Amino acid sequence: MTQATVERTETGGEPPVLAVRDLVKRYGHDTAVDRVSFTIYPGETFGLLGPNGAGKTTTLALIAGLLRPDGGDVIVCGHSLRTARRLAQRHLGVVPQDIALYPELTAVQNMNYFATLRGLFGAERRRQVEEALELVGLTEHAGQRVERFSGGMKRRLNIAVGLLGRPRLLLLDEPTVGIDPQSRRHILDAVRSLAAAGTTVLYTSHYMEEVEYLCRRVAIMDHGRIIAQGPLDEVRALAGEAVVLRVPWRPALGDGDMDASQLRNVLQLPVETVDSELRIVLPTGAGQAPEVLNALVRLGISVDGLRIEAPNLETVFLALTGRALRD
Amino acid sequence: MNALKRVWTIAATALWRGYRRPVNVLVGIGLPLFFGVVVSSLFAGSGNETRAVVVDLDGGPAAQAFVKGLEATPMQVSRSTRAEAEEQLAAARIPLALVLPEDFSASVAAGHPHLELLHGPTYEPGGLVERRARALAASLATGRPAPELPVRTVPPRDMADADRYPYLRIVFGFYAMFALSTLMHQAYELHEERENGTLARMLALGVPFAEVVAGRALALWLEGAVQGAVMIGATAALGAPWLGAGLPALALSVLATLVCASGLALAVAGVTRTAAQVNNVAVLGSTAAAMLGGAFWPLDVVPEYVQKVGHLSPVYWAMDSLREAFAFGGPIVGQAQALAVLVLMGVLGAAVGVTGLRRLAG
Repeated sequence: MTQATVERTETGGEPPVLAVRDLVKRYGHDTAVDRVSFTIYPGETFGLLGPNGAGKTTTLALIAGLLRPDGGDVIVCGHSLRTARRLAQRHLGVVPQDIALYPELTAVQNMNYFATLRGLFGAERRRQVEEALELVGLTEHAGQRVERFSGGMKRRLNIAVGLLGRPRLLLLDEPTVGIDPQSRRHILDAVRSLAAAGTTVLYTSHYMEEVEYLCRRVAIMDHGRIIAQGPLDEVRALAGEAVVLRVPWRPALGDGDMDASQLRNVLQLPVETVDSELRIVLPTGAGQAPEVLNALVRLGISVDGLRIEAPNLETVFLALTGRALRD
Repeated sequence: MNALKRVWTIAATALWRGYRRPVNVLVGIGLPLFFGVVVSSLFAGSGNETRAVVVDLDGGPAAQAFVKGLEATPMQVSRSTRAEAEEQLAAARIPLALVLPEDFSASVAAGHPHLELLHGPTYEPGGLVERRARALAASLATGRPAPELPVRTVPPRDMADADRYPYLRIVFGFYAMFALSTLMHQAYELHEERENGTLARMLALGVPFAEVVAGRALALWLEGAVQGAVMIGATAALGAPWLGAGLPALALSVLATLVCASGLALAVAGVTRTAAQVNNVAVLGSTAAAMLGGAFWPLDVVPEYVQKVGHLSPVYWAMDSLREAFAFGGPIVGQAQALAVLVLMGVLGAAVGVTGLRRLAG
């Protein structure tokens, strides 16, 4: 596997908020996190990108102090998780991938509960709860039980809880999985607002568009290892000539009866369906497009529009691993 | 201070969340209430405790008071002639018979009660019937504890509530059973917290795992206390004389039962991994404990070896603590053994539970 590092120090003289050094986590003979190292500086939004099962969530759990590493260390605001876990955790806000809320309670009851456990009381607790709910757009639903929330609202509240205590570093683990576009947009805007206000963010996702939208520096993980990291533009350049061919995809209107995995097998190329669109990675560049379009027509797919996209993180992942990011 | 606040917050929120689920209210309060008020009445109406056969050759006031007192301990007293009693003993159908001789009332009045005890081959000296008979006879003679007799050091209770005691015994047995069952079910919520990610969230906030477990244990204890208050309060409102042995005696019985039930519930949470396992242990465990402990029927009617096995049941000791208080006066003195066993069971259970639950902390 290619190890591509284009890291550049952007300290600006300030010490890092997070320094991950040679982190290792094993489960029996499996190595879930394999010598992972990266650094995040104050005010940065750092993206950790990788397919499902790449080791992102385990890495975040190690950083949050929820798992004990088998090797390496994590330094949060100068505090080692090995020697000063509680001190380090005071600077962390964790937004887990799963909705970690109590459905029987209202939004504000959930917030108050976790705020109290965070050590917030009285007026300060009230102020921070209100601020966080406002940031995620749930002020009007504060008194509503979480079990009546939509998936997107639950995800937004999940984030709001992570903001309690005004952490210096916010860990966001796949915060937009399985939600509607409107909530997704709301979450992305909220993360941007936080970053603009100076909060440092570690954002993990397997949606490369989100990482490209939010982050200036990224790391790409696969099989527990970081296979590329650095400023976004420089990581993108690792894709070489690969491009993405995007074609409208409407199976309900007669675009064949194949799904993405069948098309992948027929075309022998990485193929995905995203938002009524086929995305086909062309490893050798746009010159492959006519051949692929002919193949689609032969399969009964009406190609009534197309777009060829410049190299992005998806194509980088393909170039480095030979697999599509969402495999 | 912050640690205490966190533990209390975890406990209070867990309790509040629990009561926001209708099914929990039904299973945790409604069902015990139904058993306490309705089913217990049916069970209590089906007969008193059994065992003691009395041959009353005296028939005087002291003999009548003796029999009434024996029934209040409680026992089902059956009167018999001497010949019948001897025949039953010979056939090993009863272990012993108490004979109140013709001079029983006179001997009581003289301060030296004369009491005979007939027994067969299965009789064990110093058994419950004998001890209570001695205590009753002594108290009838002196009106106070009889130090020369190797029996309880407190006199029997006022017999005014004696006829209601079997009902109280059954209600308290059901209470112990439901406390075990409900708390074991609720203890599984620690696993749910892990599955739902809220446990990880609390730990990521820097809350020590020990505080999470302490908060959940306190929630269990509070839930059991609410259950007890509802069952005892409702039946008291219907006239059950719960305070017959005094409030401290009742409170000690309830507290020790709760310590035991919450400790055992933690143990179940510590050794199980799935909701199905917890359900099986909670339902089978609490039902078996209730059956062996004598909640459904007096232990006197089951074989002796089953009675001995019943000593392993927390329900037995919960009921024993109440019975001893009512029969011999509370608090503490008569209850001490039962209370100690209940607390010991609870502490051992909590130790097993906390050890097992450490795996949840990751």
